Amino acid sequence: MDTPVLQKKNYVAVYLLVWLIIVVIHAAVLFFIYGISIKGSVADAAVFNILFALAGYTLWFVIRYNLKEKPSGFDLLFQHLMVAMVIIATWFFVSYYTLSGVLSNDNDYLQFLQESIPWRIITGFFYYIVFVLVYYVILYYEDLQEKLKRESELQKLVKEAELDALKSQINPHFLFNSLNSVSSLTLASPDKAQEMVIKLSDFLRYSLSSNRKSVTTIENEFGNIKRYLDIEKVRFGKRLKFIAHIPDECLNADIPSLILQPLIENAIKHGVYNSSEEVTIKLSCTKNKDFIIIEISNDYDPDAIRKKGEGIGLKNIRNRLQLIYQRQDLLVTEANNNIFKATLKLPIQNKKDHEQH
Amino acid sequence: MSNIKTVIIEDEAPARDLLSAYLKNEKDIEIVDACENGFEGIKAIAKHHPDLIFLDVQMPKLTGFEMLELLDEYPQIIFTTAYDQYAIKAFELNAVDYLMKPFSKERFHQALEKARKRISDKQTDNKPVKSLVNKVKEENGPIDRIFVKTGSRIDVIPVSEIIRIDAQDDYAEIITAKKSYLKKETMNYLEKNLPQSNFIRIHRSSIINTDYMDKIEKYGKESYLVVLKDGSRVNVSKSRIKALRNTLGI
Repeated sequence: MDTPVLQKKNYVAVYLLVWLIIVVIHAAVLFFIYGISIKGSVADAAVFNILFALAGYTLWFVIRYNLKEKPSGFDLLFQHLMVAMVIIATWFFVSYYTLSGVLSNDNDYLQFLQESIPWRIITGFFYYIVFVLVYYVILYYEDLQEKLKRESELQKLVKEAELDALKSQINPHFLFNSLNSVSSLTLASPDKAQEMVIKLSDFLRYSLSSNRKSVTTIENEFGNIKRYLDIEKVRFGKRLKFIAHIPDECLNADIPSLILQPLIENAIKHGVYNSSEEVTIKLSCTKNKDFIIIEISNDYDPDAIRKKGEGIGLKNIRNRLQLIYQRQDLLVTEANNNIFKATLKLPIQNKKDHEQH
Repeated sequence: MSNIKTVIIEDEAPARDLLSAYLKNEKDIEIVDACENGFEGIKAIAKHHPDLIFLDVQMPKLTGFEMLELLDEYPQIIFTTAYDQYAIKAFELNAVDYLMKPFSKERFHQALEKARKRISDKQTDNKPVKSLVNKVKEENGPIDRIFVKTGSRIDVIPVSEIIRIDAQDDYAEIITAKKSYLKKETMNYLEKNLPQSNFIRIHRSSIINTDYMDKIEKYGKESYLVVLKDGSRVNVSKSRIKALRNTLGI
């Protein structure tokens, strides 16, 4: 947040060089064209220009500070006029009295100084305008850079989030074991292999086309977990049993997409993966005035101690529910009598509410 | 040359079917058993003494690695896994052969060919697998259950049920409220790998679970006894009193 000319050594050099050139030209013009004494020309050029160079330095802060406040067009113009007047008046009087003091015995010069007053004021305004324009260009450029940087960072974050979401949707164990099942089925029963490839494709398509924000119907979401379970059934055979009870009144209700599949996956991971006996996954849905309530339960082997890393799927769902409904209490899990149960409560929202999300 | 006796240990039926189908084309291979989990695997290995096993890493109840810990003799092993980066890293480090599911017929033949060669060379000690099992065992973090094999029977003891463990020569006697078990394991390994929060070695020859502690009794000048909930008394060696205090936060 320094002055732009002082941010880098190069800029300081350029700034000083520009002013040096102005000083030289200024002095030369006075000496050769106006016939002012060499001492008078140099002193005049040095005092007026060095003082304005210093004023220009302070001007930077004024502009930067002002720009942050973002005043409207008329206010901005008015402010600049006031600042310009203050700066130019100060600059002019300090220069004027310094020079008339220093060169009090050079009468030619004093006369010239007297006559040039209007031109000094005009030059002051001209300098001021040039400064302001240059500063605004620099600020605009910096702002643009900043914006671009922020945008690319944001994009990176979004990409990462999407990728994470994708990774959590499609469990690589599931994917590669399913592909292995397909590989096996192609030998024994090509028809079944084809069926499985189609189911797997449909499942992947649904997962890829939904994002964390999208809302779908329970019917669609149920279709997806049905496909998922069909695929898992090929892998686990009779170890996996699924019973669903979804009344018609629930089918058309809204539900965040891809929210049921992680719950089913969780049930399989902790039920079926860890048991060599038959495991039953039950899904039921009820609707009341305020909520759609979905219960998913599975039995599990009490001897099988839970694996580490449990709960990431559940945590993701909680985060999503928090994002969508701003509530923490919508997913409840309990384990009783070797049955694990997850209860999902989805608030029924009216359409207007809905569009906000 | 006699046939290569082979056991498939794999929890998913399609994966078992695929291996069987591939193996059936091999004249020298005799599939003696196909098992759905590690427990069946151990029984089958004890019964058939196979030359070769195909072993899935992820299985319910007893994983492939846990199963290997319980074996005394290792046949040649071809591991199979779908996606377990930790396991794959371990395989690579120990130069153990594995198949990544789904695998091609060529890859399958390659692995089988290597195993055949080792079997015909009578490389029976299978050092790479031994070092793999040890590595995995060490790196797995605190253990949450202990498997004890007695004859053909395997008991699974959740560590939360263990009251104390006593050293008995080369064995560790694991004592729970119901029963006590003998496992060939060192006290050092158990001390290191049981959850540090509630297991503490209070003597060269005993580890206790502080969750089952009843009280500490002082006897003599600087000697202590721990009384456990099952009524047993365990000496605390002088050098371990401080560690015990730290664990208990007193």
